[in-house]
Amino acid sequence: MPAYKAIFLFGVLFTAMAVKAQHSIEFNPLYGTAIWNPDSSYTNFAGESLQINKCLFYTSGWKAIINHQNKKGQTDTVILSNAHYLIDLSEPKSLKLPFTVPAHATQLIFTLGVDSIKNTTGIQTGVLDPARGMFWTWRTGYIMARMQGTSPSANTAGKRFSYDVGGFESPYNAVRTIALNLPETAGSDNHAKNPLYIQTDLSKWFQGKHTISIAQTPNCHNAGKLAMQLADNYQQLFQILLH
Amino acid sequence: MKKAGIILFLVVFVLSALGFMEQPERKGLPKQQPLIVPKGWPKPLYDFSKNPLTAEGIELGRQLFYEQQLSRDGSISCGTCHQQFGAFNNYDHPLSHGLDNSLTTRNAPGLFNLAWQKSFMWDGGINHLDLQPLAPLTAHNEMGESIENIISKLKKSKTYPRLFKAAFGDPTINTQRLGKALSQFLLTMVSSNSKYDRVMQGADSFNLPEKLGYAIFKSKCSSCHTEPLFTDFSYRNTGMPLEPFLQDMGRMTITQDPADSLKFKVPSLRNVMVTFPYGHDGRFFSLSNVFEHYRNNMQVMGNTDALLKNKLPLSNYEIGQLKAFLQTLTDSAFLRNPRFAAPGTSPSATQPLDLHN
Repeated sequence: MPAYKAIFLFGVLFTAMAVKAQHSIEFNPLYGTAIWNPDSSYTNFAGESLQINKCLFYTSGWKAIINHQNKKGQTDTVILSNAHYLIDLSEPKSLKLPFTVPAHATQLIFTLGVDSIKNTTGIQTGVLDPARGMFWTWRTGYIMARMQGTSPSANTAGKRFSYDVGGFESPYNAVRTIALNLPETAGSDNHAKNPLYIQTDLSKWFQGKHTISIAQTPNCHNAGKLAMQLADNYQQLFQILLH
Repeated sequence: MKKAGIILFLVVFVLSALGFMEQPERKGLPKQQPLIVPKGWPKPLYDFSKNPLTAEGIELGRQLFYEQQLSRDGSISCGTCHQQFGAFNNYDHPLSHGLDNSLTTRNAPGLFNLAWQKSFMWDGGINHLDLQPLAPLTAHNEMGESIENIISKLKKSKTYPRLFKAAFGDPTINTQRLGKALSQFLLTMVSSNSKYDRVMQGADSFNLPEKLGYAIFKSKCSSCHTEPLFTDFSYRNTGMPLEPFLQDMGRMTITQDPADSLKFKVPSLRNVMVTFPYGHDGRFFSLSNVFEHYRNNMQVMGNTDALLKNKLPLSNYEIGQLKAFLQTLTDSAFLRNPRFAAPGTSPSATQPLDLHN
């Protein structure tokens, strides 16, 4: 097949996909089932009362699994974006991602964190600019996720708790892959124009795979065991809901 | 359809041919100034393809290195604690001074031959030269400024937008360019012109004590202080007990591995005569203190280096010869090179105080 024909076909294919591409994606911050509000008090699994005034995290490596099977009977994986996004739960603009999930997607996959190449090749720009404050200057590495707030249980100045979770090297690599199943109704004509909401339940910070107590560990500011526990927990923050 | 194919082919052909054509030298483009690797030295580790050295970039880096406005209150520059006459260490300071009468927790090391260094800081926590300056710039007990404020001060200045444009082709100022410009200046700081180097090139010869000292050095010191850079850049526990006030665990802070407890990077011995005090926290006032540590005062621990399990026996005679040899590692041309001095000043290799060795 001549090259121009291939190019033409690709063009047709791409246009077709773009037309069928469906849901936009948006993070929806919650604590338990309630909409997260920085002024509201919540209780964690350890029974500690707390307020969360900040939560940010990096995401990258967005992919979708499509269920129309190819010749070998395998599902297709489509790369949605190679960029990094800094999601700031206090910044409504940052909650909405600039790409859509294609039709017939069954699963959405992304990475929470910054990949190791960006951690080892000097100073980056854009959302990865260390000036954004999500970077350790005293030891190289991105802060993959940050949560800050106050709690009467925190034995610290100002009753503050502060979790900066990072680390990109084994055995303390805090990057986590998250795979979310899409509801069966996703991609159907009735729902095509609705955004996919990624429910982001902040209570899981304290109770995912591990139970985190603010009284015991009010601070995390380095890679290591605590960061790994928090990373295991934030891997479970997300769930997809179709409105 | 066929015609379209031919046209497409021609367009692709012409475009790809253009790529092979030499770019005419445009006026105003920064002048490339590649690093000269001293004879017999290994290949530099720094990736120059991402940040080619240019005369304009190096000059911008020098301005930034000596720029006090990079600190929160405008009182401290990189050059404040990295002084040329001390091979860019903080001369005669066990620990450096930061803003508001604060003290740092580590001895500011000399700066030279950074293109060959794979990680930075005594604990090796920083993995790229471009990133290194962000640590002292932002540390509350050093220059205490936020990156955001630094960039905004540079953007507002009268001179910097012009200097950034000269170095990078357009006046954009961001963290990446700040780091790259500082790296360009720092990378040019090559110290390779000591008496030792001249002897190795056959242009000079050691006197008897230097020669004897070199032989002792090769049998007792060079496994870690490896030539020609006089360090192998490894992290080792040399039996220095934990400083109770600083509680600095060294490499373990980075790796969280107890096997790395109290390990610190092996420092280069180049210019060692002018870089006192010694040790990661400047605990050794003089070279004599260092030798005394190795032969007597060491506290051998579980993870103390295998080469030092029985401490490092050194006779007074050997110490005398070693000192004579270490003198030959002073690169006075480096200490006086006007290209490394603060803009508009001439360097003085005259140290403000006496030597302690």
